[in-house]
Amino acid sequence: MQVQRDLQTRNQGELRCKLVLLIVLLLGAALIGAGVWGMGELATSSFEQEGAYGIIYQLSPQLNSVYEKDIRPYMEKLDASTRETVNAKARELLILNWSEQAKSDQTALVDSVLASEKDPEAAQMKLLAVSYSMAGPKVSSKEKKVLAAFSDAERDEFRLQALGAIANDQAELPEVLVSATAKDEGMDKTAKILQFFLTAADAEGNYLPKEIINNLKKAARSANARLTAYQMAEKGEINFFSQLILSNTKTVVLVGITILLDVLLLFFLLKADGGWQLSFKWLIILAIIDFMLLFQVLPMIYLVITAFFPEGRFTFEVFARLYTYPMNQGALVNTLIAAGATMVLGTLLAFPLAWLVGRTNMYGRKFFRSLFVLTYMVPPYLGAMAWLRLLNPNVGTINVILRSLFGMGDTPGPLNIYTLGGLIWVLTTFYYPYAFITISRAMEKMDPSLEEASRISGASPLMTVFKITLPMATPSLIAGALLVFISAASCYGIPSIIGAPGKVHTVTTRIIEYMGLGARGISDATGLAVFLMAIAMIILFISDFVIAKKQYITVSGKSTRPNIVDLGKWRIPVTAIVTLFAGVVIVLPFVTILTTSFKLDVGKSMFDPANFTTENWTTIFSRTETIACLKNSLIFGVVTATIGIVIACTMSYLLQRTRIKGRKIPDFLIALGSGTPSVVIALGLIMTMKGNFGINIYNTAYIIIVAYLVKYLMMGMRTVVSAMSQIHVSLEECSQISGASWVKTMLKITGPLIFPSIAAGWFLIFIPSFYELSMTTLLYSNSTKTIGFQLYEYWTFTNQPQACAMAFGILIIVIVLNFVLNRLTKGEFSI
Amino acid sequence: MATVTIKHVTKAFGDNVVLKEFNETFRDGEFVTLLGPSGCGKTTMLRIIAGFEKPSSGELYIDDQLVSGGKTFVPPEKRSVGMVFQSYAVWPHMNVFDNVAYPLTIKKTPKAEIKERVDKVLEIVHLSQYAQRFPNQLSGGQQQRVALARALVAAPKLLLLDEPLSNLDAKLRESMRFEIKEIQKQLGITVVYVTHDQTEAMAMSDRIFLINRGVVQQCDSPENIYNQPANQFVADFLGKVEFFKGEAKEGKITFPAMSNQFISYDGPKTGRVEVAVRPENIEFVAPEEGQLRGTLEAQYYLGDVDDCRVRVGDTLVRVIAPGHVFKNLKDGQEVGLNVREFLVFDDDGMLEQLLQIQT
Repeated sequence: MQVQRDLQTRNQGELRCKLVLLIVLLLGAALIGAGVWGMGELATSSFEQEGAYGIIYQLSPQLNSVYEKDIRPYMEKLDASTRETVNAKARELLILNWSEQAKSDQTALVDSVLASEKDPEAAQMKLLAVSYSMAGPKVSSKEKKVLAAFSDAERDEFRLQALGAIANDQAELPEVLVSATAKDEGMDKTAKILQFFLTAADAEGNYLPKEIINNLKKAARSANARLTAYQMAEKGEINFFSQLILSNTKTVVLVGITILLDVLLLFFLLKADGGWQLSFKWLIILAIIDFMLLFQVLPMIYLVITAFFPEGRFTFEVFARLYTYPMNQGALVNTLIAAGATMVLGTLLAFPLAWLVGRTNMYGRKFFRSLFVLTYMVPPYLGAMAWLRLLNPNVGTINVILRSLFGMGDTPGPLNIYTLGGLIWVLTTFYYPYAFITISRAMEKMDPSLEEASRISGASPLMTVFKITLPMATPSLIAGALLVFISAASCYGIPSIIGAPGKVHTVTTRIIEYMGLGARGISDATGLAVFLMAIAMIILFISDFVIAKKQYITVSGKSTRPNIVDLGKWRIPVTAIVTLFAGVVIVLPFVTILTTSFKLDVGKSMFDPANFTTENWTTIFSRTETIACLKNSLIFGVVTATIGIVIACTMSYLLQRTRIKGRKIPDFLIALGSGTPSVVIALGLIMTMKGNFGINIYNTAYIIIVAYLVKYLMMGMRTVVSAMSQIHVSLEECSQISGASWVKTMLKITGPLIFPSIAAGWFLIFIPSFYELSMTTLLYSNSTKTIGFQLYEYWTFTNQPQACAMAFGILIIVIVLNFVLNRLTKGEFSI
Repeated sequence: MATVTIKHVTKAFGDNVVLKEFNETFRDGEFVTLLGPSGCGKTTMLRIIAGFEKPSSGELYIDDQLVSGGKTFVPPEKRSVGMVFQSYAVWPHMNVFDNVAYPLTIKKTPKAEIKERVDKVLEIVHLSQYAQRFPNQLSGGQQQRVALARALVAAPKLLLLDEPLSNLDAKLRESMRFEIKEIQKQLGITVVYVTHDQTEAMAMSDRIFLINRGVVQQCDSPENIYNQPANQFVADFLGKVEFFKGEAKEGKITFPAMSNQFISYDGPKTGRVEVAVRPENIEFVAPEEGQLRGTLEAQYYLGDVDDCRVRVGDTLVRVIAPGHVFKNLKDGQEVGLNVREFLVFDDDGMLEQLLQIQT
């Protein structure tokens, strides 16, 4: 019995669930239908703007109230015959006005419109009111002033007199009208009197709101459109919903399609889940999926489609043209060589460094670790700027020193940053930390007894590194290397600063150059972006599916004490080499940036008193433009990080605490977003978010925040997810069994436990958003410039020392934030 | 085949002294167990023998060769010992054969010989058919045997085992216990075994070193260590034991907390004492015949035995009686107790101190 009843309830639940889905599905379909209807309506209408319907919707009630308040009472005061005459005249005036607007006889139209009305008097008066406010006889501002000066009683009298004068053109006119109509005869005069009658209704002289009328003028330019608009406004046939649909057809269709997709997805997820229970969690999952679909998948798909179907049909034409152009070929080759070399060099640097820092008794391991990781949080363009100052063939500090050391005289060189080699060097110094972090993490997690087992089996420490440590870390090594490759290939800051003067082009710089060319440029940029995207997708696939399966190192709850290899007599020499490396790669660039920021002339020494100045610093702190940019950057960073961390926490909960089937979909999409090159994300957003798909956020702060979210969300999410995975669910269950509600448990147990990670996640999203350059270069508008972009502009076009001051300012902010984070999380996290 | 001589070995991590003055010799072919609660220093001792830790002071000899001490330090790979780790430490990127062959490969043993020896050792641990499998395709018990095979393949003179059975389930643990013992007998090697499980230690060892807080409390055969514990800690750690405070005087020990009832005692101690009694050494007799009289307060039937609580004065005494007495006893019934065997220690506050840190 019980079982049967349970089964019954379950079936009922399933039925109810399916019913809800069906209703929502129908809603989605209805929205699509409505949107398509609206599009059809728009296609046949003669309005210039979708917004016309919204304006007409606003106008209708105004028109009614004008008639009821300012026209009808006066009409009713007239005696029957006068009223009849006024009406006849009004019809004539309407025909005249419309014919004039349409430049053809509109008698038939007016008659047919009026014939269908129950109250033709009201109808034609309303039509006249709106027509006259759009294109009636003029009332000069001087005359308006006279009308405005009337008292209420005078106004009443004036208007009645005017109305009478319409019926009888021989009647005596008020003073203003006499002068105003002095030059007019016949119907022209009557028209003017009517216009005065209407104008006098309102002290300001605008019997219909000026703004609405002006908007309508813009939305309905042609005579045809106007006449239609008049009729619609008079009939009041545009209701709230139809105007909403008609003014937002694309958005309506988009929402409809999204709902439809959501319902279908939910149906399959619920079917796979078998539970047929609708819960709030699904809404969250779907909301995140929708966000990613709209702002990430749609732009990317559209990007690919535009690349292959430039004019609506499939063609390789764009590709053929693009990729046969020598400069582009050069850019492709450069990108592949630079990224490949950076990957190899970076990994070759990262593995020994990670091993030395993590597994040996080298001096200052902790210090070096923070130093190497710090680079990860520094904007890459900063490095490019510094190396440019150091290795400029003519005035680069290192070159000057080398020349004086070897007595090479005044020839340029010997080193030249403006080459592919220079590009590779700077890319390597800035991207090896990516591999370093991945590899050290793997080494930290490795069970030390795996290495001990090798030692006890007779292998020396070095042999153990090559036979056990290295093979076990290989998957992470490859993952790190691929990360370096794709980061270097999609980097814009470094190649744009080094490449542009040296004519070393890369795919990213070419894309941005094409973007500067306008509409034609976009299609070419797309063609190149597709190439970059393809590389990114392949790499994402390899590291997420191929390597992840080979991953030996899994997170264990146990804290492990890593094996420390005694370097013996090598301890001091190794420490010296690492110190030298850190000095050259990290300290030297930072110092260069700092010293350059105090120079008047970049080419001369800072120690020349004539060349020393603090002006750069005072300027950047006082220039309103810089401060505005800084403010923008802070706002975008805070908003992005806050939205991002909320999504991250929600996703972590779904991933770690529920068994909901579709929880991996948003996770995958977020990973996809983070793997997509910045330039590609920005380009996709530009192409899809300017209203052509129902969303128009182009040139706003929103598009920038959306782009940052797509790119950096994963950084925060992974941090929170891994923290949550370390907290055994029994801690939460224990709180619930003790009587705490879910919310209380989250606030009292889970929240405090993962707080350090939440804080760290927030900063991990905030910091790169704060100094972002590549996406902002494409997405900024005058009011949404960021500090990163401002710095870039100053570097390229204005004043390099000032740019350096800004760069060092950013660096200080990043270091301070890192310190705050460290304090906030009691030393558990710093970047 | 090997002796281990430990002379005055002390180990400290910073201020934390984990081993104090370890001074023992493990004999050739002996199965020695280092037993103790977690954190007692037993694993540290094992890692010093293996060469993963250096003693802070003292010397360590394997056979007669100094391996740790003074300026001499022989790294683990030069010590020719085998070791099984608690986590097995089977390398995930090599299959079973390669894992086991590793110590021989390192020594550049000819391929044919490697094959022969690996096959042989795999047979010993019953893994012959799994040679080509990867560790992630093996169960915990099989991985454990891979680790054992790897430790044995190079025919070490000394085998170190660090809680090798603690990650296995109860049944498997019991059978592996005997397998390891069998292999040791068969090969005649010296084994140093670390565990916190007293049953394991009792079942396998020739000698048990019971360690607490870095100090060896007693070193003896399983039988002696159980029956003649050197102090309260040893008595308490091995098996179940209860302590009662009493006063020894004139051939008897009086228990104030048992309304001054007494048992007869002809030992040498006088004054305040601690009497240690194993619950299975108390038997039920008729009320008038017992040394002690009390009321049966509760009994828990466990099948083979009957675990009872008897109130004697203000004290609750635990008695483990044979299972068959269960049906003869009723809660609230008055009973007599005979204490067959007991140990007497001085009541010098040592007990509290010893038991405090037990985990």
